[in-house]
Amino acid sequence: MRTPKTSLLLLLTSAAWLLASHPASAVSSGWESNPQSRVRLITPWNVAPRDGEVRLGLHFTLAPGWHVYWKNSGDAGFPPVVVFGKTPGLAGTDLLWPAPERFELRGGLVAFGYANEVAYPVRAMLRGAAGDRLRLSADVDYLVCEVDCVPYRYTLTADQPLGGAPVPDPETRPLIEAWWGRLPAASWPGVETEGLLVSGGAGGVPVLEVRVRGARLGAGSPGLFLEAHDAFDTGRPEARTTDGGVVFRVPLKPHEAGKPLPGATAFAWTATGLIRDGQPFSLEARRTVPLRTTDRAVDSSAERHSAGGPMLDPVLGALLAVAATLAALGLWGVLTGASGAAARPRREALGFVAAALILAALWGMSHQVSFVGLAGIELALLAMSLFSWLRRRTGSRRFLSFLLAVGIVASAATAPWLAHRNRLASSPAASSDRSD
Amino acid sequence: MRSHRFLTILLLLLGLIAATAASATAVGETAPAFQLKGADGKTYSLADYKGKAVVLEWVNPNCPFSDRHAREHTMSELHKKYGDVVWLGINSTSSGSRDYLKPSETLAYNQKNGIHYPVLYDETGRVGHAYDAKTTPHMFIVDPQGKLAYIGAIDDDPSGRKAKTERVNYVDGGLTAEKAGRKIDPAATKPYGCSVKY
Repeated sequence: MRTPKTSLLLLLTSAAWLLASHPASAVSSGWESNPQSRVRLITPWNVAPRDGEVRLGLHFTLAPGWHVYWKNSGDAGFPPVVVFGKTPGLAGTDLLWPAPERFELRGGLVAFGYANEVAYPVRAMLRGAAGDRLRLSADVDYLVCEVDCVPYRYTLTADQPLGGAPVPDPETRPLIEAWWGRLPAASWPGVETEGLLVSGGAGGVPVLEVRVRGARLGAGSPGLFLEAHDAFDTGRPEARTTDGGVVFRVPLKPHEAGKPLPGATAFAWTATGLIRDGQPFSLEARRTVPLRTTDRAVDSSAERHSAGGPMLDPVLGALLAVAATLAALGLWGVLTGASGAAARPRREALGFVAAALILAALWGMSHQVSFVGLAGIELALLAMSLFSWLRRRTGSRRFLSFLLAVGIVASAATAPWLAHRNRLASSPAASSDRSD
Repeated sequence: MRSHRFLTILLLLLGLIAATAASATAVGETAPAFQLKGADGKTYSLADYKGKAVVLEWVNPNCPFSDRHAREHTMSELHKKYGDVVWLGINSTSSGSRDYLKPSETLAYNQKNGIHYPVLYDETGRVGHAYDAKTTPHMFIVDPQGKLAYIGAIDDDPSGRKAKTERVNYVDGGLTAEKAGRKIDPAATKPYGCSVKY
């Protein structure tokens, strides 16, 4: 038989557990859980007003390594789809998209989205909601991916108390506000954005150039995320700081070959990793962008950085890597003079080391090497093996001297381009450019 | 002199390898040629189908999207509907991936789901990269002249929420247009699904 004291203790313990697992103050749908993620619908109010804008949140927590998607999922996946049920008094529910991250996938593919946690803001309008409760209901379809992907579908429901005097929820309101704060701004004081579609540059690949005047690149990785486009696939963006601000350049791949580009094309993008007056921010824009058919003289510095399209880059990269290798091997051949059968293995080994040092120096300059860069290095290693064989067959000092000159000039002329080209994401220091 | 010639050939070869590895595809371009072995052990070459429309479907039975369409018979019904169209599944999943299926497993899967078209093995990803295949499924229609006529999604319903009859099936529409001699519209859409497991 339980004593009154024991019963009271049991009651208090049960109440504490219930409070811990389902905080009474939070208005939310309760979690829907699976091994990769959990999701719930949250509101910022214990008691919501009957009229006005309401900020809701679709709150995900994700297992380590898993992500959900931005409105443009990137090369694979798809963004969450939310369909709100009809609730009298509730109208205009819009799912909004905080600034995303970029995820590198196998095979050179990319995805855009959120890892660990995200509360997608949802904007809704309350207009004369009757009664003392608002029944919220949302059908959610989403895809969560790591290497594998798993789709889920849930119906989330929550009862929102209504009243004349709104009462904020201390748990969910800060969370919703924090994610609301990560929405890209439509404008920023002192900052102007413009876009330009540049065609006819090196490689013949159209490039979207987005200039954000009045901003600098922040400490994190800058990014330009384009919304899905009917006419183009987008390549890897580059960012650099100029005197006037930040310039993002994105190579575009037309969906249809040989189709002339129109005089103006609509694009929508989010630029992230920006900073002004010490304040970090992201900026979104929707612009009808004019076409500029140009030659390299119009913006020589920009064109220099974008030299080569998807087809040309690896070719140039491979040729440059071969040139660097030739320089290293040629240099060693000249320095060591006449070939002797006994000394050959040592010379060749040192030649390999010299070539590796040149490539390592290029890698060091580039901070992070892209897949194209890695392909170039691999091709260089192949070239080293073949050249080693070739060198044994020639033994011509004059020929080696010629290769030395060609290799050194080519390497010196192209090292900055190669470093810029192969960078995964620009850092402010590395991408500083005073040519604007 | 001979060495110079060798060096030139070497450089051109390296350039060619690099260019091939980065092949980009767009509607209107010639579909990259390939020769691949099927799960049935036979060798299939795109060149063998010149003069016929060909549908290429990137597949991965372990991807929930490919699997859903297999279970819903989305592709197999189209394959049956357009009997004169060649339909080839291509699996570019790397043999090191946990999604990889052995040919015998693929045959069993196809049997179970009523898939009667060949599924080709591209474990190196060479053909997948040549087509710039990104998702499973990712659909390509090659016209009888060997040009790419459609690239993109199978339909407009990534989540599978819509009833089958309510979906816009782009490949169905594309093949109908192709048969009627009309240009496929839309000729390109954004594919959805799992990333190809290169």
